[in-house]
Amino acid sequence: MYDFLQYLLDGLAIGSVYSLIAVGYSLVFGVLRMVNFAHGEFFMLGAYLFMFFFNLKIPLWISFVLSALFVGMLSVGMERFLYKPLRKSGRFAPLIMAVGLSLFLQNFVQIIFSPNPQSFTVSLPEGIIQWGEDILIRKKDIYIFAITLVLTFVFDAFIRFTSFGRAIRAVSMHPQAAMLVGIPFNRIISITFFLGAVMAVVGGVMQGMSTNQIWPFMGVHSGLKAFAAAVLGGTGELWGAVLGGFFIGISESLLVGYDLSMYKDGLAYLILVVFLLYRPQGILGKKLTVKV
Amino acid sequence: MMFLQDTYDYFSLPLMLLGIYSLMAMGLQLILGGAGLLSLGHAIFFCIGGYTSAIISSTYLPLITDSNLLQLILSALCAFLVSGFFAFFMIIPCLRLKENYFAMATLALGEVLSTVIKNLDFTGGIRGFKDIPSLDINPLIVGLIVLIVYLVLRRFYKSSMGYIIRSTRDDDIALQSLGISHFKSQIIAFTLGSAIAGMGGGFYAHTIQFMSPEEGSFNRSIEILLAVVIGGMNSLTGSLIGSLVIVAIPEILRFGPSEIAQNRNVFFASAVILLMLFRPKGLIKHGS
Repeated sequence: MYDFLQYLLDGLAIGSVYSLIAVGYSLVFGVLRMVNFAHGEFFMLGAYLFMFFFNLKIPLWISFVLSALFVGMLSVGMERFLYKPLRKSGRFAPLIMAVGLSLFLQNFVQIIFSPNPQSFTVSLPEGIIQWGEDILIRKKDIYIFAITLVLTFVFDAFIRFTSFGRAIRAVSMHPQAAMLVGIPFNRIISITFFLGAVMAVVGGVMQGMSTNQIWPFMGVHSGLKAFAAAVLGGTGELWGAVLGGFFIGISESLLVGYDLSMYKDGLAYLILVVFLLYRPQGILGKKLTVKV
Repeated sequence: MMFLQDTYDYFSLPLMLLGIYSLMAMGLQLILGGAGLLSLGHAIFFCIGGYTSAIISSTYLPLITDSNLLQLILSALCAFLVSGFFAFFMIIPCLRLKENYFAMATLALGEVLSTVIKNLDFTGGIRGFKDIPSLDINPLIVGLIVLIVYLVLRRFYKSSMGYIIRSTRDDDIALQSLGISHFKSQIIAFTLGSAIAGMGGGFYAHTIQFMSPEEGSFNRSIEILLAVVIGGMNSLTGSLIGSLVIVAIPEILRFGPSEIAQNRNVFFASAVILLMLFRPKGLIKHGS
């Protein structure tokens, strides 16, 4: 029983990172009905750029803000110049473009930094809290979980109460109608990409702080799982994506805990297939009008 | 004569790889350009075919016949059938998904299957399957098979089923309104295309004499997708040209500065991005 609780808590920390990436997938899908396959790379780039700025002796917070701005601008630029021209050219063009971008970014980072994992020298407070007799909680994990929750609440408030947030919701409900009432469609898309990328950067930095290691393929690795989380929670739903992330994190941690770690990487995909086939609207999603 | 022999030895491996990639690309072309289904798990069928050939050629086939050629043919046939069998059962549930979701499901199923292969005993697990007999495989045989597959597929596109498959790609609703099931044609295209990739995997197993679960990874699926996209999704000949580009460029870059050779993926990725921007239908225009 204690084991189970322990794995559950470990899973929440892994799941937090998946959640942060999944939010971006979910938002972009909500407004454009498009899967931005390259989204996981923002997570990787965020961690690398943060480390890069930090190694230049720039203070922690400023390096974070710089990397978030940089990756956010990159994602906006990518959308403007690479995805937007493809909106009308066929069903597969945006997806193949995204795959190409993802491949490009991974290899580009490999060339500039190194194909090998790099150490991530910034760390959250070390230390372990003992709870009861058997349960050990890393202080880092509490920070990660708390930051994820706080960010999601802030984000939720942004989407609910600000005019930009209302515009994002309007575009994801009905793009044409939103344009008719004068919502600047392209600007809203850009904002959505920017916000999604910033969330992914937070995820990347926290992943780095948690494992103290970053590598060029961490983006695909966690990104695809986060995508599974987004589908699981119901694409387009903010809290769904977060729940999906926790679900996948916890199930992975349980598998590892009960000595099935060899199957760990397949699990998220299995969950993805099962949900795609039997509940494509996800946990929280409403029935989609577009038949998937 | 020595010179000719050396040249032949040097080129035989790249030539066989070219043949194998062409098989995979033609298979994917049938799925993507033919039926209009984006399969991101194409390499898993290549992997399944490879393991099938590896297992039967190192255990059962020597019991049946001594002839290497006959063993090779039987092994390729088994790879074809087994991967087709897997593809058939994979596609049926996936067909209720459309476009991007279908692509994601094939990607996910591919990863699930490769995790399973990693954990099985008779596949050698994560260390891979070693010492697969080569069965005297040579570029001539592979080339002949590629030619046969190419001609058969060309003929197939001209058959009524071929037309149905291509009209599924263009407008499945119009097809349904004519009372023709697009499910059947999609199942046939996917199964056949994956089975051809499986046959390629069989040849690959005999060529490299080693098979690992990584062969079915997402990266290889992407490589093949690039071959098809570079050549133009709607053109069968294009996928041959695309595979030539994919196989030849690293071989040529080998003689260039090592920085370029090591970073070939960046060039591939940039090529895809530029292609999608300027020629989203591929380099080669298709008549139809």
